[in-house]
Amino acid sequence: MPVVFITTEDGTRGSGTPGSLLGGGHGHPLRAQGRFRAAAGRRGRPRPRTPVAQAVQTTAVGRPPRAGDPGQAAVDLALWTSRGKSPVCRCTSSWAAAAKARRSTARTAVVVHERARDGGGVRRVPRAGDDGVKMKIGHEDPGVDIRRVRRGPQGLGRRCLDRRRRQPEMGFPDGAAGGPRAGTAGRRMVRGAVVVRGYPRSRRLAAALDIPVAMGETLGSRFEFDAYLRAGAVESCNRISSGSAGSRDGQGGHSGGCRPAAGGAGTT
Amino acid sequence: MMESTIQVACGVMGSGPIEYMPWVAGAFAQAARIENGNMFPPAGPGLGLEIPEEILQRYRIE
Repeated sequence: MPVVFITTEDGTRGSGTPGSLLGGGHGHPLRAQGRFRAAAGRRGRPRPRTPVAQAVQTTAVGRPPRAGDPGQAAVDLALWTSRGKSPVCRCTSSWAAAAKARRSTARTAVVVHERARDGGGVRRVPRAGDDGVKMKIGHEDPGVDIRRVRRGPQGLGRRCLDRRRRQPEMGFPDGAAGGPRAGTAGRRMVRGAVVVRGYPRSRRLAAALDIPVAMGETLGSRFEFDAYLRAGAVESCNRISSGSAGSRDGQGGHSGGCRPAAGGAGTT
Repeated sequence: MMESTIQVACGVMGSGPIEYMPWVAGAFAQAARIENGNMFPPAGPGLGLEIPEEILQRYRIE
């Protein structure tokens, strides 16, 4: 029969029994935020709201039990059981109400090179779907990336090709599967999100290719994209679709791309 | 998956953005609450996730 009931201010209830001390007591005081309403059961009258620090006096391990310890242990248990009914994150000493989220670019982040016929030649980029592959670039030596991209799908390596066989929906678009053809590989290849961290390397990469160098993944908002676009390091940015994260940043629709800033590499 | 890591992300201060994969949202009774780029942890006990019986039956491996 529980003798101590505790109800937190958000309505979570916990209970404890005096026999819990028989195991040896608790060595660590319970740290909790806020104030709890501690109400004794049949052994006492309800007490006013009491800070946890006063309501809980844990027993040191190894010290002989003293009168009153069972009651204290019961309060302990009551508090712990109430915390166990909370979300995991609230069991920590400090927690945030929310965390930044970004949408995964897997499966939907497919960048297809297209020149927009409106907007003065600004390249409009991503098209959502499973009809392309995601290729990550960002080698320390941009020459490696350039060579890989120019070699086309074969440059992705056996691992990627194996994956393509297992997942037909991830196949290359027609015309690109057989490898690049002079003057066409750039237009037919599909590029996915690319993390571009260093401006100089990225600029060199963007300048050397006739396909858009896209970026995304770790960037969360248009403000983060902006510096890269203005530096001419990339030509397009994956936009987050489905309204899940900040990269979407007020733009509607399911697919599309951030437009490069004026003077950026994306303008033609 | 993000539905479970959100609890850790909120419990650890300074956590970076976590990845949201919408194609797994159907595995849970309630969709994750995401507003303005922020994801909020479920308010239920523990992870706060509930997997419908129908989903369990569909993906059960004997």
